[in-house]
Amino acid sequence: MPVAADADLVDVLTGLERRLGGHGAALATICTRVALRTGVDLRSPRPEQVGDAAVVRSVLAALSDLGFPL
Amino acid sequence: MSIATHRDLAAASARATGPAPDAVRALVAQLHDGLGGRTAGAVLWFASSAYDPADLAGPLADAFPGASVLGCSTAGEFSDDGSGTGGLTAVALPEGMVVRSAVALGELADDVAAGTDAAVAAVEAGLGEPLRGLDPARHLALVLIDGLHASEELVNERIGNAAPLLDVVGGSAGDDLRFESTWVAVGRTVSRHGVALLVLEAGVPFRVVKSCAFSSAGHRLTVTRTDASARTVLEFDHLSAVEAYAAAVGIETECVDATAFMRHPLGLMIDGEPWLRSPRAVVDHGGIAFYAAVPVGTVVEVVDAGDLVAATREAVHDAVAAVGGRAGGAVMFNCILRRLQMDAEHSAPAFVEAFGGIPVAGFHTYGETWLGHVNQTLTGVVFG
Repeated sequence: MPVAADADLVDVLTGLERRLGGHGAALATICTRVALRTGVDLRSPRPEQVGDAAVVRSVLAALSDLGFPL
Repeated sequence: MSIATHRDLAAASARATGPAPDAVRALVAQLHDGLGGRTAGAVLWFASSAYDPADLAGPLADAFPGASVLGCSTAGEFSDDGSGTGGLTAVALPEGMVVRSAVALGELADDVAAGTDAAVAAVEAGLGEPLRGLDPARHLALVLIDGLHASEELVNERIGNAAPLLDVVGGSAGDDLRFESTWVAVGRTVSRHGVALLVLEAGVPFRVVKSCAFSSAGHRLTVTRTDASARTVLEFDHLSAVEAYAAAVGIETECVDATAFMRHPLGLMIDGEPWLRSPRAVVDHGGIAFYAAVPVGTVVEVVDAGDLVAATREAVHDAVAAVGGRAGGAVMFNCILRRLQMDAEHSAPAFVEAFGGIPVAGFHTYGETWLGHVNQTLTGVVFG
């Protein structure tokens, strides 16, 4: 199920966790790669980042590049 | 302090100096002696840029037929025998430790993305399957990247896109602080603007090491304007980068120099750990150039230095514990800034001792890789 158009980073993390099927090591690896590309730690985003549409778009783009479109 | 090793499946490490023919001969002899008749599955070698790579790559590839052989130029080399400059180090990972492997050289000069993709495709062809499908618990990528063209972020992104779940570990080639030309080699082929990519299936457990000995000092800076093509931050928090950095570190703007940068790099905090972005120089209009890209919107924290050797020892011990308490070998990538700190503190012998006698080889780099490009860090892999 794709994330909604108005998704925030919590929704994105939930979608990624669902996509990875609870594989903790994979989640850590993907979140680290995303953070190094975007500056956003999905597992611990800054409060001001959570609902920032531009930030959410950049994270979704990074996930798509990694082969995990949400 | 020593760490228990697997004698029957241990890697062989070597260190040599002197003219190329003598150094290669000595290096190969040490590796064969360490292997004790076993066949090498992969060999990684690291050489001073004072050598002509043509004198090294061919003889080293020929000495290990059938193995994946790759190497690069350095800003110093180390093994469990010591750390120095002007020489050669290598580690041979035996068959058994390496079940299978494939290695390829990507040319980056014309198109970094295309060159990296070509290396990935060649490795996938060698393995007979896409990297994306490999089990990350058994497979690992090691990468050596040209260190002078600021290509590391894109190289890592392209490899990551192809192999998002694999640990990708490595370093950026150096040239003994001349900043003129680095090189990487795969087999007999050498590139002065390339990437060497090795993917292996390990027959033993392995664990990635990342150690930087820095911790957050609690001061945050948000990147608000950059010159991305130059890895330069122009503004933090809408102030000139140098003014904001000086205020965060607690020094006068005039005192923002290489010493301040060495002591206070900036950390992108991921899962509570700093992934360092090291300032390189103050540039025009109050900007600060970095050794890694720091995109707009990134929140970084000022970090304070801890004990480099103690942190290295702890990271190695944690990795050894994670692979079962015994180590068979390791390959390590240590930032040149850490080497300079070690030189100043005369702590290179203690740094080597921190590996506890594990057969290890590595080099002092112009950048480190683990999943992405990072600065002022030790990255590496310990094999069980």
